[in-house]
Amino acid sequence: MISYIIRRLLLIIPTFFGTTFLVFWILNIAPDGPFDQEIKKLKAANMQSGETSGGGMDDKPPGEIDEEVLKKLKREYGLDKSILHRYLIWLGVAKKEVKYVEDKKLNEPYAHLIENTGEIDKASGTEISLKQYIFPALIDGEIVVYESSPGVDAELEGYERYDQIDFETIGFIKKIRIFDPYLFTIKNIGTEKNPILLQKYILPAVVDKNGNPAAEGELVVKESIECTNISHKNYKTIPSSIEELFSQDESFWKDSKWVAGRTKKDPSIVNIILNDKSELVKSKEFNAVWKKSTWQAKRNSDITNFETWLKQNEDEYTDKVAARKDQENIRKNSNFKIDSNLSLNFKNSNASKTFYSKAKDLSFDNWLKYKDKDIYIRAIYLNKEKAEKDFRDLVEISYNAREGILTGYLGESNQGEDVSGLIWDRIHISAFFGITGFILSYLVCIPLGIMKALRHGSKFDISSSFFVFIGYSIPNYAFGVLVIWIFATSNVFAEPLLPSKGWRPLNWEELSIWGKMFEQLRHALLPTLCYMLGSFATLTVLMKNSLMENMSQDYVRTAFAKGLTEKTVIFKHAVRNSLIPLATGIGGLIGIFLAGSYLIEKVFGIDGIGMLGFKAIQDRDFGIFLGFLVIGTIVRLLGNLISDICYAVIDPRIRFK
Amino acid sequence: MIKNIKKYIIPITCILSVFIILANSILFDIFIKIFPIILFITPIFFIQTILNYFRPKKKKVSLHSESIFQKRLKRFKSIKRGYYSLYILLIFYIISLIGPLWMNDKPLMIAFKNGKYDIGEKYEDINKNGRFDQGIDSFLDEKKYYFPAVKEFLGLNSDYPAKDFNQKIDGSLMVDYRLLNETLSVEDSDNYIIMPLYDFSPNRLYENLDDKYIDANNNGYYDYGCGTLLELKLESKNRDDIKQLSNIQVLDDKRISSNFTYFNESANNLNDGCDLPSNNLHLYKLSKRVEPLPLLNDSKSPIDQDGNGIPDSTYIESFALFYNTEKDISGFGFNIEGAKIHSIKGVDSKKNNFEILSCTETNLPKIFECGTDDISIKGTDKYKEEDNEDYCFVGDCTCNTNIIDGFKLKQNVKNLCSNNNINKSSSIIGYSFKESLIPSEKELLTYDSNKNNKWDEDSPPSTPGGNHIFGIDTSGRDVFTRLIDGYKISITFAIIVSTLGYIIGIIIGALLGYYGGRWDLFGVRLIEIFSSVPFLFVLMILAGFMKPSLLILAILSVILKGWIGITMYIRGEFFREKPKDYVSAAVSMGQSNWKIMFKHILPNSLTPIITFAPFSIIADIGTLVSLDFLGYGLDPKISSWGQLLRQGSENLQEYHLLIFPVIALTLTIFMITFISEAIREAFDPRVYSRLK
Repeated sequence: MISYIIRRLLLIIPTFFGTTFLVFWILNIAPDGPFDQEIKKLKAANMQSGETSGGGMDDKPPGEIDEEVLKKLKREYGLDKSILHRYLIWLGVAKKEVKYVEDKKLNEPYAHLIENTGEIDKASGTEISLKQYIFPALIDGEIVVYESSPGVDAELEGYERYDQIDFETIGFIKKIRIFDPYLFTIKNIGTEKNPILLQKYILPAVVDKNGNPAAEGELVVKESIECTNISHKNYKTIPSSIEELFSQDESFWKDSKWVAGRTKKDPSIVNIILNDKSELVKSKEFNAVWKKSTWQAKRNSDITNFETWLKQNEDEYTDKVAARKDQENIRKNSNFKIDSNLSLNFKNSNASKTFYSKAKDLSFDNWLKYKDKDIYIRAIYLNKEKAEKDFRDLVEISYNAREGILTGYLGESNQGEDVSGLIWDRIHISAFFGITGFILSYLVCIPLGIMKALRHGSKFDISSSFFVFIGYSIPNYAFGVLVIWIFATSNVFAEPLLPSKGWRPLNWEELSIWGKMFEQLRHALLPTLCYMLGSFATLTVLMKNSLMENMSQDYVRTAFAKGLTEKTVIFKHAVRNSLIPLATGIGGLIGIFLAGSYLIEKVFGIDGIGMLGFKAIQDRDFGIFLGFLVIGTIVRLLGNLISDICYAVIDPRIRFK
Repeated sequence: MIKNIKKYIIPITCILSVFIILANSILFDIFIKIFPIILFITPIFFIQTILNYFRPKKKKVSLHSESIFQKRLKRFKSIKRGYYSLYILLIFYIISLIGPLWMNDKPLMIAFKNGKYDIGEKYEDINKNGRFDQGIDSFLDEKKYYFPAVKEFLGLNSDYPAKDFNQKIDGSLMVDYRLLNETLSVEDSDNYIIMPLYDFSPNRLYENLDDKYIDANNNGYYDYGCGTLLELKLESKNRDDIKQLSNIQVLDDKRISSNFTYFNESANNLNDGCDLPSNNLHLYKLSKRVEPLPLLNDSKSPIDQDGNGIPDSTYIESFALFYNTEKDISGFGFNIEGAKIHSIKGVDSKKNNFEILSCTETNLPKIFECGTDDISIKGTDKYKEEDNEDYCFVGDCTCNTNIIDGFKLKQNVKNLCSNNNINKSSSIIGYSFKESLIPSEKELLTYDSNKNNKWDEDSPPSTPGGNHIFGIDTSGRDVFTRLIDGYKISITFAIIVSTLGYIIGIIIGALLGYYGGRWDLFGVRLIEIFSSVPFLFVLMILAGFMKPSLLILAILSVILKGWIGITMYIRGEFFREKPKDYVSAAVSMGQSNWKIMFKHILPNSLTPIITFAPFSIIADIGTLVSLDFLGYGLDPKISSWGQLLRQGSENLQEYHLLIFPVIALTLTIFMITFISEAIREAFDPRVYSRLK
């Protein structure tokens, strides 16, 4: 017996996976899913914007979606993966990419929005959002992602601030101007009362090839030797004014471990960061702020996107000074040749002539953007190497997690509601109808079946058979519409006797306890009738046939022969044995709480579990539907098993092999 | 053979029906060609049966012993209610199959002499003027015979050009047979027409409830309705405004084309210098057939250009002329009877073009909010895809903005509709959503003509009575013909599903049961997987995007469910039969596995197959009905009981949409249940005896 149960339980597993995969596959091939709906929305939006802009700059026809956008959208919905992979993600076996961000700079923390708190900041009037810093750092050739603790960007009770991280102590100095010395405090070597601060200057500078400061050239970071703010025997005193600082001799400055990077907005402002990160991450200050994150980062491997990225960030990598110089030269001198390999290519061509003739009259911005044939003038001034280097330093940060059916997560709907919550909200409705329907139909059908069997062939049997057949012939939802028409409209009776729709009246909360009971009864009467009708005919006939079969058995004959009264024979022997086939229904008991015919619920406008599934199909809400399916399948399979076990427990003749 | 024909009549009819259905759906074109043959063969059997009945019965002395199958068949026949149910269902099925011959709005036969020269007619010098003239006298007008209903039944083109029958129908080049029928019944000629027994088709709309063929203008032709003048009132006293409209020509009930200012009394009063009646909005209901209307400043008249008083192409459902001094507006709008004016386009007293979305809850002229100058309402087609409606309705919404943003309004309307759960009721404004603001034909054809206080999609459902014995459904189609046609569709679907399911189920079940072991384990898992799938839901998903035909839907439901039940039965039977001696004997004689399975075991396990058949058919009918009930089944054009039931459940006061399909469905399943009972008793007789 136990081995049988175990085997059955094991066999449930492949069936479960098979069923869910089958439905998962069908849902995925079905169009008009959430992804298609999103695409449709985008297309409609594009169409509208295309109309308003009147053609616009793009050559694309209105309504078309950018390939990049499509790709991103696909990734968001997980459609870039194979169906099996998606299924595994849904199960919770494979990791799901919950969120991801692209094009973030390596070694630079960025503020990641976790969620909006819903509170409004009084000062700025904007919504306060919960954020944290995510910091992809390159340490010894490996990218390690750190995160800071989450906080908000304004004063809010119960929250810390996220933006008050002291970057200095952890190896960051943000935003200083080039050639603007930054006084960096290393530590206090004195006492608390008489602090002696060990300090140094950090100076981002641009130097030419010879190492002299220049307007254009390489960006380097210099730092001063360590000094103190008060005279100290071991250290030099720190220069107090800029003039004094710059009048120091060369031995005062040395190459720094800090490195600088220009900011996007203003190239003259740089972020600087301590280059030696392996040292940095060991430091106490660093670990106080940053902890290792579950986010993952990887470099942009997709070099094909480089061109598009470059186009977006052209300004940053365009050598404007050289461009301006060249333009002025062309204005002055028509014979001027651009001193670059590229210019050679079109020096003698017709294109070059038109270019030079036009270039004279162009304003600087247009000059930079000027297009002639296929030669993009701007490309001459574009520092591609640097851009490419920067591009390779871009990282994509993603957060993966395992959550799926196997981890107990039923998924979420298109609107983002939790499916298990949705089901839980409706379980009492299904349970109500399930239990009442179950009890009532057994209460009616068993006595009726017994009576029919005992009076087989009588007028009662034939006339009740007629009703049983009618009950079998009429679908329960059609019966539902019929009883609504009879009892809940004023077509047959002058006044509608019962409410036609809904699970409870609208003013449910205001009713007294008796009123509640009465109203519930009124609302539930017709649906319960329909639920009963479904099993009415089969149960009655089953009971009747089973009892009749038992009555013709030898043991009944024996019982009669023993001289027992008919009553005893029937109710003590025959009926008890003929209840065995009905025991199959007991397995369905587990499904009672999830029972719910969407057809009946639709007819009566009850928002139960069946309706949830039906609406999910109507709205193409596959999240709900899959959750609904999982519960339904498990209940069904377990119900079958329990039925079989009950069968065996009740009827000792049945052996399992 | 002929002598024994009575014995074979049922199996032959069954096989023939199955064949007809399969052919009907699978090889429609080929089938069309051989169908007449089948059709003429089938009645022969019936006639034969009837003749046999009257023939003096000889006492047959049978030398052969009856097979067990024959015995069972005999037993089945002896159970009268099952046997007769089978007969009734089959006869009904055949009747429904030949439906186009007896319920059709196309005539069975027309004999028509059109008085014109047609190709193929002889030129003959009848008037003896020595010339072959092109006129009435110069050719022999032959009477021609047409058989549209038969042609439709055979799947041929059954439409003839209208000019062959001297019909003038606007917008349609094809003849309207019902109109022809009406005409011929009045006209005195030897042309005649034979309509089928019940002259309505299941798929045609009868939106006007057959009252449209009235010759109101006495021109000898039956027109599509005619104008009746309806006067509504609007408060205003300024005659100048009215004059702005003088260049509209409209058709009044006397079919006189005239300018607005002269053609009715109140307008004349106006010219006489009398005070206007306090209200003067005039609403003219003109005709149902609508073509794009001429714009206000358009010189084109809605009247025909021949001047013979017969409207050419432009008919107006109804439209209103009005002015309003307070707002300095005059113009015209289109009104749908029962609904309210919903769009107005016109010229105001400052000669600015304007367009209005009017919103009024109950009576027309109270609120006319409008924008002046060039307010254009630009409809976007954005939402067209979603609901395919250019038209929307709001409850209790008055639109008080001067500048009307059509897009926003539509959204508000949508929200209102969904929030308030309003289902197109008459206290609702409609507004046109087209750039021109002129309602399309579809919009104007939709109205509340049965005054049920509901805005009807195409035409109202009407209760039984009159020409339609079971009434009309919400789309204006005849319920009776749809019920009969729906019977055909349901049974056809059930038979296809059962047949295909049986073929697949028997093969798989036999393989599983015969080979057993690993195959069985795998097969049973497959069965379990398929039976765990929520069948109707998945079918709904698939049907939702595949928009399947009957055959595709049947195949889908076979794959998802149809094969499972029978597979389990056959598998069990094979398990039971396999260890028996005759199988061992066959194995020892070296029979192939295939032969053992299908020649030895299968005939011995037929009992559950046959007893299972009626249940499977009941289940399939139920599937189709519930799918259609939920709106996910076949094309709405195809008749189905589920669709009628849905209409009934949505319009509870229309009892005929509910009662008739329920009765049809229940009766059919009831009779199939009788058959199943009889079959079970015949094949698996159990005698219960008990002591008392």
